[in-house]
Amino acid sequence: MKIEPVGDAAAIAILGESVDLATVRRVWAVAALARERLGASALDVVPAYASVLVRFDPATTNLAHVMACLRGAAHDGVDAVTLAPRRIVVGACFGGDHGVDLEELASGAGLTPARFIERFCTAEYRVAFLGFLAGFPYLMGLPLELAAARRPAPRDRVPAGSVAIAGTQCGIYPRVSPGGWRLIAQTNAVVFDLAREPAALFAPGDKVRFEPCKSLDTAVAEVMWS
Amino acid sequence: MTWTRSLRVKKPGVLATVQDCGRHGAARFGVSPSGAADWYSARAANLLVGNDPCAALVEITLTGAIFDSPCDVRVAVTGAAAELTIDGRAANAWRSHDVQAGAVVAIGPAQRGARSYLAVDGGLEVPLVLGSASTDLGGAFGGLEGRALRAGDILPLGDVDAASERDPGRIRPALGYAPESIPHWTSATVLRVLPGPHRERLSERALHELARRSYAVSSRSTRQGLSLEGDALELDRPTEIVSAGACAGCVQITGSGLPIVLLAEHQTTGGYATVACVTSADMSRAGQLSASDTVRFEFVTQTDAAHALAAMRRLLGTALPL
Repeated sequence: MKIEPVGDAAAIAILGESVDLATVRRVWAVAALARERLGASALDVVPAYASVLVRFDPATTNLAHVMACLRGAAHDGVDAVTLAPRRIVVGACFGGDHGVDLEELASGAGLTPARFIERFCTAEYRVAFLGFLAGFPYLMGLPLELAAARRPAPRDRVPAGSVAIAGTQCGIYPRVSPGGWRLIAQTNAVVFDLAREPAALFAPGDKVRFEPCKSLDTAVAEVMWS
Repeated sequence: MTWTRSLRVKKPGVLATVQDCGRHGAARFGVSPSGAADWYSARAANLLVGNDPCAALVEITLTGAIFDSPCDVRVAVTGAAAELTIDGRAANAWRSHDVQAGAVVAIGPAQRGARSYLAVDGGLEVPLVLGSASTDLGGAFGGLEGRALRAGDILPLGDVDAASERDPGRIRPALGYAPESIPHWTSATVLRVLPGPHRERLSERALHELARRSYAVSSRSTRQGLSLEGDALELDRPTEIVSAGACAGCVQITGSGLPIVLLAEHQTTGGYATVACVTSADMSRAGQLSASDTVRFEFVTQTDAAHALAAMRRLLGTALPL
């Protein structure tokens, strides 16, 4: 674990170097504590897989104070025990125009497309954090045999709602965007909507499953509180 | 007859957007802070017209832009070195001007620097999204309908004190900055940097090289970041990291061994090592770079960075009645 300045207007707590549930649970706890303790001193508290970044205004907030607070949060934030995870089932249409890389990924994994989809939909995922695009969930829990490298060059236009794989990561594009992830499916779920409170469908800690749908119209998300 | 106070876009140029000091608190949802690329010039423009330094204003890119208003307004233009005319007459930037209803405010192409800022008294009144007026071009929200300004757009203005509106000259003298408070943009720029959290991803030698080399700003640079071209650094270790939070000023090394510098509308998280970070003071200058400018990095200490920022903030407060 280390606490480092990120220039003169941010600091980061690096809690690990790997993507695993134990580390990210600690990230959630540390981020929550840092947010609570720093209050208005923090412009942003940004959790990721294994780190928590805090942005502040150097005109009003001192770097040493932020680093001390992060150090304390990293010490005390052992596990996100209070986080009550929601369960979200995401309907998605697999393959064809909805997931142009599915066949290639399936054959690369030595599976039929149908078997690939079955394996993908049997797994349970956890939302590690949101980043890249507004509302984009970074999902952990992809079965290792389904992992696939990014495209060498990103596509100019990944359709909104694309369910995508990069390495062992999985994510859902909230809107049309350039992107290098491999596309396997598409959902009609509204992943980010400013007219909604909160705007983001997903939150860190959520448990996610995918369900194959025949038509995009019915490929929506269902949120269940546990 | 009373007009709703507003600003009209006659020509937006290549890219004009509504910006303020940025959208804070939503990075954990993946929402970029966005905001003015050059914080110093944007705040200066607002202060010159009596606004809050973080009021919403127009950021104009490279080619200039033309505006008018159906009512009397006080305006100030700062940022890039560019010709300014009001009703066809040459006018100075970095000072306020009282502009009569219907007069045309024309900001010419940037001769040095990349972005001009136009502030109008009362500030632009667009709906706040997640607490900010800033346009997020990538997310297509904020500013005016989440998009770049177009010819014919009408931007409503906030209210100003009724007394000062009746007699602007007497109640509120024009304000201006002395030359020493006006940044001088050059095509060869040194950006002062602090060591970044993933600097160990570079060898001592490569880190030294980073500070020694000169890079050219690529034409692919946007409000998201500066993409730099030049001799690639020799990498002994991959520069990909487990995705982590990032902020404006992060100097990240891509797989090709070349640096990028994150600007205002950066992604909230990223997978490249941050080996250095541009000081807050010099982020003003970073926001004024454009294609074919050259950049060098110079490592400084936190104390140097704090002094440089304090000096600039002092300069912001030096706008004087003319």
